[in-house]
Amino acid sequence: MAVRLTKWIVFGVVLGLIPLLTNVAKIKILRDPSTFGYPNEQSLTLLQLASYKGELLLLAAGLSAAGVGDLIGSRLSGTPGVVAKYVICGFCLANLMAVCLLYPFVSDFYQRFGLDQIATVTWLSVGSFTAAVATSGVCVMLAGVQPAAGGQPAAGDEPG
Amino acid sequence: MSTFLLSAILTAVGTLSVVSLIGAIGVASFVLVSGPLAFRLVITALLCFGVFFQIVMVVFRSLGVIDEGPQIITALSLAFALVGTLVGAYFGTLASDKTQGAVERANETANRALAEMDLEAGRRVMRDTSRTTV
Repeated sequence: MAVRLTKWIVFGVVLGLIPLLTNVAKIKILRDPSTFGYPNEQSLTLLQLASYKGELLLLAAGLSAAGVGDLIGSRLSGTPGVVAKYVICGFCLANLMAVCLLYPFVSDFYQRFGLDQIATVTWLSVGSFTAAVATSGVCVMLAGVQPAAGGQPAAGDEPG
Repeated sequence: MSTFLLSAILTAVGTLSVVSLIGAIGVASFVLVSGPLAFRLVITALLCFGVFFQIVMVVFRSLGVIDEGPQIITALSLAFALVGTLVGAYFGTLASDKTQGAVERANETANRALAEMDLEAGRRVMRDTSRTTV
């Protein structure tokens, strides 16, 4: 389970963040002027630069969708902790819907409101991304739980 | 789009994200923590409440709802009261289970000892016991 989670964090989350970090580095290092009509991007912090146009939400949607797909791809029925799998699948789908609903509004906030609403955009993006990482991480973790040999219950299935 | 509708959508989405985050933490802790069901439930509830409390405090501080010392102390008192209630309920249930188990074991031992006695001694013990209990 730990190996599976580590692989997912490295190849799913960290490598997925690289394009955003490259954009942040480009803005901070090259100091190019912003697109016409946008407030100056140089004044934004690193966290604001990573989320100001809603790119973090796209990454969150990708993570959530992959988590649900991973869980559904594994066997749901007949495996240990099947209730937990259904519950986390529901949370992951809920977060996916939230992110999909949020993206069209957040993506043009910076263009419309400038620095006035940048805190809203940043906190919503970071919160949704954190929720996506948590839910899809648990999905990936539970997708690795397979039926134990001989029909014995495995981790997370003790009756108490 | 009106500002009210936009605020409502953003609030709903933020709430949904927070609920998803807390749910994920709850499911993970419930699956990963080993032990009896009551123990797992209490640990999960404590973790979920801790995360929820932190998020609420950060949001309220950023909105300016909580600013002064007494308000923070009130919030912390509520949090400690809830944590205390959960932990107290868990240990109360645990102690009750242990007491019930000890009574059942003592009863079983007495019955087995009674079965080993001769008939007359057993009747005398039963008679004396019924007198003392009445």
